Amino acid sequence: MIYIISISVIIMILICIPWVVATDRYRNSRESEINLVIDEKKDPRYFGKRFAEMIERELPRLMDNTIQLTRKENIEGEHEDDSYPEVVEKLVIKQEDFVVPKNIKQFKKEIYTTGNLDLSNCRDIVFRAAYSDGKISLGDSTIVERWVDARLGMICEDGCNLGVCASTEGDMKLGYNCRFKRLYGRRIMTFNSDNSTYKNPKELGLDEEVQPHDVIYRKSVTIGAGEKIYGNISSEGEVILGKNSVVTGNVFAKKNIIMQEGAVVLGNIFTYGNIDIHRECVAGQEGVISSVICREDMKIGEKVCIYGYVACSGKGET
Amino acid sequence: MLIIMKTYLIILLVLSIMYGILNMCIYYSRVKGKQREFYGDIVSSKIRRISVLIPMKNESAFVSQCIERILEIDSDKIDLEIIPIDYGSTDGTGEILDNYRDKYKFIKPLHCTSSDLKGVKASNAAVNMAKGDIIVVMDCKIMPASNVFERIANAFENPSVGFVNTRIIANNSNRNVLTRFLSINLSGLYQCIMQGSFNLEINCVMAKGITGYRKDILKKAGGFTTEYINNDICLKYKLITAGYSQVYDNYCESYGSVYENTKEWEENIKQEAFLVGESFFQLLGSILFSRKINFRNKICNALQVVEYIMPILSFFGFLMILSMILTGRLGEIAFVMIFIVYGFYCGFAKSNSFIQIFAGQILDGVKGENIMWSFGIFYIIFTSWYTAMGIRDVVAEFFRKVIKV
Repeated sequence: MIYIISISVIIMILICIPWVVATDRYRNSRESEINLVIDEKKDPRYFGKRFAEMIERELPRLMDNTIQLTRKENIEGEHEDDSYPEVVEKLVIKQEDFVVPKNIKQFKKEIYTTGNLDLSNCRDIVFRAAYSDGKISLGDSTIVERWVDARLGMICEDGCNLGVCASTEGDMKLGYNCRFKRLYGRRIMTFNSDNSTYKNPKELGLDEEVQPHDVIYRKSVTIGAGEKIYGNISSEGEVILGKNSVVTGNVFAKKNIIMQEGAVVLGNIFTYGNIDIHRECVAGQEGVISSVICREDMKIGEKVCIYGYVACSGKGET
Repeated sequence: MLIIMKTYLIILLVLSIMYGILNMCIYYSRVKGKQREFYGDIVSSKIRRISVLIPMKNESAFVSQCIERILEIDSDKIDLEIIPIDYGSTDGTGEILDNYRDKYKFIKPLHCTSSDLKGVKASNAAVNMAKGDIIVVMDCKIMPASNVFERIANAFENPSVGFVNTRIIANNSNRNVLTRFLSINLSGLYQCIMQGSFNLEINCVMAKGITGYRKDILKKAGGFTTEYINNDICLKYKLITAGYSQVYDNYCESYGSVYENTKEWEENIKQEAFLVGESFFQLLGSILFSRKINFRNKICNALQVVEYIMPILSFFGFLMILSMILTGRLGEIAFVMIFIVYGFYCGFAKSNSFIQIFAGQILDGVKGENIMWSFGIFYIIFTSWYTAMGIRDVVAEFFRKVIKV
């Protein structure tokens, strides 16, 4: 009997020990609550806008060429052309157009201009981030380490690496072999082609009387060349949009999406796989912001036009 | 008799192993696997019409803060309509809602006072009243983040999506032991189980956060099946069996409250067990034989529907094992116990397993609070008991209907 009682007491003690610890925790410490940013809103130009707001707020309080951002930052002084050092170590603030001299190889801090920012003379230049209230022109093989944002428009020559985000409220023109993660613009066009080469979705010959209806495919699907689909498409496999085919709604796929030459999607495009957009394709439509998003790699061919937002989790390349 | 008992234990063993494997896969996919993000990051200038349904009864203490919060969500991309459904409040909730109606055209309270506008009929009357293409259902104790409605609307850009679940974070966790304990469970449910299931493309309908439905599909499925529209499990299974998919958005977060007393908690467990039990009777066959659900989801959804019966099944199993031990007849099936214990280890009925809760807490960056799981045994006993009570109610209801027929 004593044996059973002793065993029972030991078991009870062993069971209770964690409760003692938990009670102690409850009495002596409050839970560190999970903080939620309840007012967060998505803005594809977030980086540029926040940076510009910060600069514009602090600019009137500028003293001794230092400005208080998240910490005190020194500002690069005024230089005559070509007298800049090869590596600019300080923050650059220009309240006018800024044509970057050829000799500069790197900006270690951000660039802010209220006018246009012209880096087109520079090859292989590296900068951390840049904001312009006008237009930005990036020269061949420019490397953006973080982000680049221009209010009015952006031109990127061949071989640019556009960092985490390149955004503008105006048009964005991309050269060959540009690499990107996220792009945003009223109209994103590849290879600096003449605007007239882009198809106007209003001239696609769509029958306005056809009622749109959604199509859900359990497997991969191929839309034939020249076919017109009125409505949204969702597929659990791949989606291949044939030459000059048109989809008036969104295209969703679990695997890859391939848009063959001249295909047009007037809505959003999303896939968990890769997106391959061949030459002369159009995504979105004039005056409407749409998205082209993939969770793996994206390849955009020449003379492609995308209205709105582009994002890929893997490698994005033109 | 011995053969029946042994067969029963073998069935229990198979179920325990299946639950164990399912929970471990979910845990592993969340902690080590590739995370599947839905397309909440879509940027679109399209204006979406959303009707927000807020069921309530005697919630005068919360109704203003809830509506004010929604009014603060000022977005040019959504055309919002708010329909508070007042299930006959007597504490002045109705008057508060009428004041809002007078101030804002898009707040349209539905007072369910007449006898033909009760329960599920009232919920569906609200759906018929709604002008939005998307129906969002939320509890009036929830404080939605600014991006919630926009992200929910994004989900319906995909025509195959039937409903969207979002995440809740407890904002009253420091009230007492129970709230501390339930908030870590909430973290485990959303961070680990919901996201892990979404990674594996397994439908999981147990979340009670803000839920979005496509209105035309909702109507086609026959509307809401219960007045507890915050947690209409049966409707969600109906949509799944009709071939529509579920989306879970872990980044779509809102503050909500966990139960502050055992009475409310107990009611909730019974209610949820009742709703799952109803789904069991109505939809288990459809889930298993639907051609629109893949094999993996058939098994997982069937397991979810049966999950709430597990406490009762396990209790009888425990009695059988005990009687077999005492009579010395356990013999060759003693190994059953090992696997049943493994099943408990991986999660039991409504209780999340402690590894899933720990993972949820670590992913949320909350350190030390896992110690509160030491009270887990009380949680398991409490939830098991009231789950069994809920199942008892649904069985009684089932037989009542049979006798009536």
